[in-house]
Amino acid sequence: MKTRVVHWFKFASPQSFYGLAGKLWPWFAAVATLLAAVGLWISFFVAPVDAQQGQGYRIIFVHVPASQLSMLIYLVMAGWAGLGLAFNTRLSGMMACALAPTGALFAFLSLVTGALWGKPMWGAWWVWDARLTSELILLFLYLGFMALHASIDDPRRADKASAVLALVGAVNVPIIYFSVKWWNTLHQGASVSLKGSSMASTMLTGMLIMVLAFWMYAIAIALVRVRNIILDRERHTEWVKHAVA
Amino acid sequence: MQWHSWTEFWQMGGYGFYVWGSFGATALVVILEIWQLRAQRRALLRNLLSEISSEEETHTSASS
Repeated sequence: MKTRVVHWFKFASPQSFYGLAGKLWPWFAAVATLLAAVGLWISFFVAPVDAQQGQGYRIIFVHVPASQLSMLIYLVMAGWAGLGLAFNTRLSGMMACALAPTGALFAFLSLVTGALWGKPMWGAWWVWDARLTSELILLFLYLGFMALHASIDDPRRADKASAVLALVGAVNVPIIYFSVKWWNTLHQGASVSLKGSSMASTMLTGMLIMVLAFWMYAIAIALVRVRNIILDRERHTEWVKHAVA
Repeated sequence: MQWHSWTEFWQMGGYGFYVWGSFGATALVVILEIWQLRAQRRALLRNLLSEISSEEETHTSASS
């Protein structure tokens, strides 16, 4: 019997990943657009008004996806950074760099939409609550990662130094996630857990579709950005000259 | 359908500023990120092409 061998390590080279990413990102972008259209429709026209928070609760449809992705992207970024340290692959550092700005933007959006939600519901834009403070630290970790990487001229050394920062900072992600359980916070607890959900089913569906849309967007954006990073870092190689000429 | 008029839709039961502020901020971030990546790619390609053409010039002038 003939077995087909997939050479996964082939894609660890920036050259082949550049081509693969170029083929993949339009699909992720298309799915993201489709899911966002359906998700927005449910957010505003299908999901019912909330008994306690009126129409103001609809902020959940962007707040939860942005917050979740800000944490998830950090873990994926730290994972790539760790792979880079362990196996010394060039692509790993490039992937970590491609994810950081999108993660930072989602952390920023999480804080902005959270403030816009906090003001009418709690009467304050900001409180030094465990959930909010740890999310702010997450934003600073992203900014620190990018600043550290940018401050070292040699990209390979920059990859290694910022990888250590990314890995150490990963301890903050479970702190954000469990902060609403571990401390008394003003921030409400999780609406969705393995035991079930405290939300109306259409609200939950809309939220999950928006979460998926954000996932697809983040993947598409990271693939596009890693292509830019590859072009920049490999600009003196022959294959790049052939690819753009 | 839960909205009786467009005005009611835009007012969001009194939470208009907060709801539209949140969705607007998200849309703005997405648009700016896509725009920044496109501009970055165009600049990278422009620089690469000018580097390649200047290299070719030095090759041809050296051989002549």
